[in-house]
Amino acid sequence: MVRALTLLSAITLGLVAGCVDIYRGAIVQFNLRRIDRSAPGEHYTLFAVVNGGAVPIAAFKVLSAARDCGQDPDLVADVDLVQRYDDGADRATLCGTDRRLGLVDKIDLATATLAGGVKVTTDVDLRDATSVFLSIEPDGDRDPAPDRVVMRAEIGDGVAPYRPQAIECRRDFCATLDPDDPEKPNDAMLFEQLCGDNIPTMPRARRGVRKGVLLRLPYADICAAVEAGEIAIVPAEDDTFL
Amino acid sequence: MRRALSIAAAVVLWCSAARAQLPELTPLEDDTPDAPAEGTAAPPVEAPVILEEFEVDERTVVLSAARTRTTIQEAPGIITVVTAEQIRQRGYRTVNDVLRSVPGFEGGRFEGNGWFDEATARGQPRTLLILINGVNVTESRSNSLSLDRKIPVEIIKRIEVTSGPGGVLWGSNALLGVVNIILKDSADLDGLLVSAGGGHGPGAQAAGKGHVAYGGELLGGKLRLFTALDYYTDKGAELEVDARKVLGVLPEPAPDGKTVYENTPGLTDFNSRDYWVSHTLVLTLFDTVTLDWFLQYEQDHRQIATGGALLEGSRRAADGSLVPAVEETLGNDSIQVVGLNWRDRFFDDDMGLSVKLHGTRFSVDEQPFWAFPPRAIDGVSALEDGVRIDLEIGQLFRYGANVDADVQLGRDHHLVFGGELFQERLRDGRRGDRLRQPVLIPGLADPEAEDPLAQKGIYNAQRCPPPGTHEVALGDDRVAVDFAGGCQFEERLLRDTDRAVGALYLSDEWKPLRTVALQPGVRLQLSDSYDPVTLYSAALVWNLVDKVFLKLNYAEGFRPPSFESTRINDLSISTVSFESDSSLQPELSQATEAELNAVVLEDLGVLRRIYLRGDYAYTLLTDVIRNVNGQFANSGERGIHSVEFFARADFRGDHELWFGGHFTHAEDSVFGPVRNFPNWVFTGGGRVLLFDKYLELSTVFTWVGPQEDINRAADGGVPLLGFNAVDAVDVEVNRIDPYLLLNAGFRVLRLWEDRLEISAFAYNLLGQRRYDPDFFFDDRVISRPQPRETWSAFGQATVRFF
Repeated sequence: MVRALTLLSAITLGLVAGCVDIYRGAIVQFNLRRIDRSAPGEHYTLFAVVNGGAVPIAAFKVLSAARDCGQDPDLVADVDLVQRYDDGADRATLCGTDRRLGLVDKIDLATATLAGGVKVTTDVDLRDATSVFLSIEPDGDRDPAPDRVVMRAEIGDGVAPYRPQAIECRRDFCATLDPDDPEKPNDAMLFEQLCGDNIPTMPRARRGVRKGVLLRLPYADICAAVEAGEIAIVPAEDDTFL
Repeated sequence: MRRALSIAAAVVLWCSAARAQLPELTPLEDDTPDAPAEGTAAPPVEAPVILEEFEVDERTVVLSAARTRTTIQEAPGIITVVTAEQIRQRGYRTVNDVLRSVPGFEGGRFEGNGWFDEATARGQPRTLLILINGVNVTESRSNSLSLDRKIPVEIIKRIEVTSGPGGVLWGSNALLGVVNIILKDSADLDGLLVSAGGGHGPGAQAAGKGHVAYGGELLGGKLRLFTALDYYTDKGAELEVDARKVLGVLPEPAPDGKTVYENTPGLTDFNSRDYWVSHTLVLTLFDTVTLDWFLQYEQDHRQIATGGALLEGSRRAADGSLVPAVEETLGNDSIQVVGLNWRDRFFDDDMGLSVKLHGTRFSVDEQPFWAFPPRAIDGVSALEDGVRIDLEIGQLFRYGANVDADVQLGRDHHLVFGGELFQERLRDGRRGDRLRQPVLIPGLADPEAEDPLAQKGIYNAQRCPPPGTHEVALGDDRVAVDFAGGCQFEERLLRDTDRAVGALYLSDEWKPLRTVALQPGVRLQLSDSYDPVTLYSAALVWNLVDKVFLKLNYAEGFRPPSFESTRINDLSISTVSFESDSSLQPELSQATEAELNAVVLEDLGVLRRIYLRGDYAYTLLTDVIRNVNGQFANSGERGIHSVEFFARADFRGDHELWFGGHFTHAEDSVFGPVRNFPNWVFTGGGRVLLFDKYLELSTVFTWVGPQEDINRAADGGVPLLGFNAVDAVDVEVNRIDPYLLLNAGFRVLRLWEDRLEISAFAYNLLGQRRYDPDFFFDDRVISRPQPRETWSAFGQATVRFF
């Protein structure tokens, strides 16, 4: 009996001592369609709201490949780079390809440029994240509180929560237009631009992914909010045990 | 700290052995009963404790199980042996087919939509050491070897599969498993054997096979020969992609951009004919010297690019109309393995010595290697010629020497020790591509030119550099690139390299008691390319009662960085480029394993015996090498729990039933739960012999549990020129549903005075459409779920001439 217990303890010790810490982070993908380049001395920080608290996920600068990183516009496409930011990093370091998190969206068929997409990974468990927001922070800022929030997205399971509202808002607005009235020429133009096939469609719900739409802040009315991009979160979960 | 605790656990195990009163194990050679002393009754003859069907080749000093002869019940590791007879009985076509039915392994996983067709161990890719007659044939460029038609099963005597690290005895690449393919020799064939067959089906179209082998003795038995020539051909499988990829991101300028899809499924056409040819020779002189070689060549075509694009597009004819353009990637690859081995035993067989010289050459030639087919789209000139890259690695060698010895010291100690010294050499790794992005060639700058680009010396896809070797500026670096006409260029793919490796190992099988064996081991591995690696192992094998064994095993392994991760040419003007790191260190594995195996219910009515085996292992991988945003790096660790089980029942009349499987779960410190392999796999089969053993019916099934695949959703994104420009946020985690592969067949035996055998097998009889997930579970946009072949059938006839 004693021998058996000793054996069992030895095996258990070996097993426990070797176990990898459980990881519950996430892959965060986002598209930035409308974002200003970082001013000198400023950077962006992406926060997630989890259990009522804001947690920083990533810090980056948006830099022009040509103007800020010295790349020859004849050699590279005129794109905006999303570069990982660390305190104290100089411009040459910031522009390195090893810091490349992605690019701001740009489609230019003439130059065959199909740019866009940013990916960051985080150790933060985002399975219960309810929203994310993007703030502008001064470089070297030690205050953990966000300084100036410029974008925000509500997060839903596979469906961007803002989208249903956006669709409803657009439909309500389109209902006020009379494109056939010759005395309202603007109605016809607005209807052509914003209504009909141009009403946003619901994104298809995707298994294993949580999604949101980034809205520029401030906005007084959700119906007038400008969409600045989208964000998708892939939590570290395995849903295939059986 | 973890290693110390694990070793401490092993030490505690050693101290916990208990005595038992069981007869001494009978040595293999000494199977004749002792003559009774005069005047006394003869003692009862001991039943042999080593079963024939588990018996290891007794003429070979070193074998994979413990680098010496033993049985799978007693071997210090989780061992499965598949024999040539089982390969024939079950209709296995490839080594992948064999591994698909070995618990702990997945045989046949696609990487790059069929560019590689590999096996995984404990759910992890490229963690296997593949040996042919003890020679490492794991290719050092990628630390892998496709186990498809490359090695014909007709030349295989047996495959010894070890689940778990095997670094102490076997060194490089034995990170999570060892697959030792032992070739046939003259003992397996006396005379001439000819086999021919053919088959068809969407899983392998218009297939044909030929095998000719001769075995025999010459010069009065002083020379024994086995030689075989093998040929296999087919036109590939019909594969369906769920959405046609038009254009996808490449690592530069950023790996996470847009992908363009045409949301219609597509089916590969009747491909060009593929073939595999090989020659095998095993020549033995005076029972002590063996020369063996395996020379193989293959040509295969693929109509799905590695990134998942179906290579069907369109070109603009002279009259402006669109004509279909169907392309195929063509691979001309080969392996040559040569070994010269001298072995003998001394001092009344108490000592054995083996010296082996070996050389292996790998050759890779993928020309053309398509990424995207030509597409004539108004306003988009970039795809007119498609995206085609040619890869060639002319010389990838490994050559060296192994010395292995075993010494019986007294009654209780059996030392196995030895060393190896080998060199790996890479030369002429080249890539051909076409200029797609602008480049700066300062030497061609013309300040007098009118064109501002020409003034700077900038060239692009519309303005090609003149033919010749030019220095291209890449930041502060300059790199020489050979330009041909029409913007075609050739550059280094992999930098020339030499890697020297040496190792010493020692293992002692100590039997303090008749029923207990302890086997500690140590290995020191040195290289001029990575830091010294010291590996330890410790095993306890305890014969609990009769034919019931308990094994407790601690094993370590390592995998050196592949040349892909350390020697890629970073200074590349190709849009398909990764960054290497020459300072990468080996990845390490440590496994703590337990097994209970037993042979039970022997000779009970129609039952001859039942063999049972159950295993648990916890494996820790450290310094895992990943490709993160186009950069290779040692990053993080991974913990793997695995449970394997196997049961086989043999019946009178030579019928059998077998069933096995595994459960595996892995957690990664960077990605969390590793989802791109099934948690559950079950496999099994049966064989019955009818009509006085003239007819054999056989079936094999494998049920693969659900998996996850992370990639881009083809129906997301925004409309673009009639296609979908899918964004980075259109990421999805597909569930790949479980599937059941069922193979069944028959053999008609003992025809024409036992010379003729006819067989026919159907594979994936249920016609399951199945997919493989992304090989490495990263969210590179190169992948949708990778389609796999459906059903096929194959029949063949084999004639022996004695």
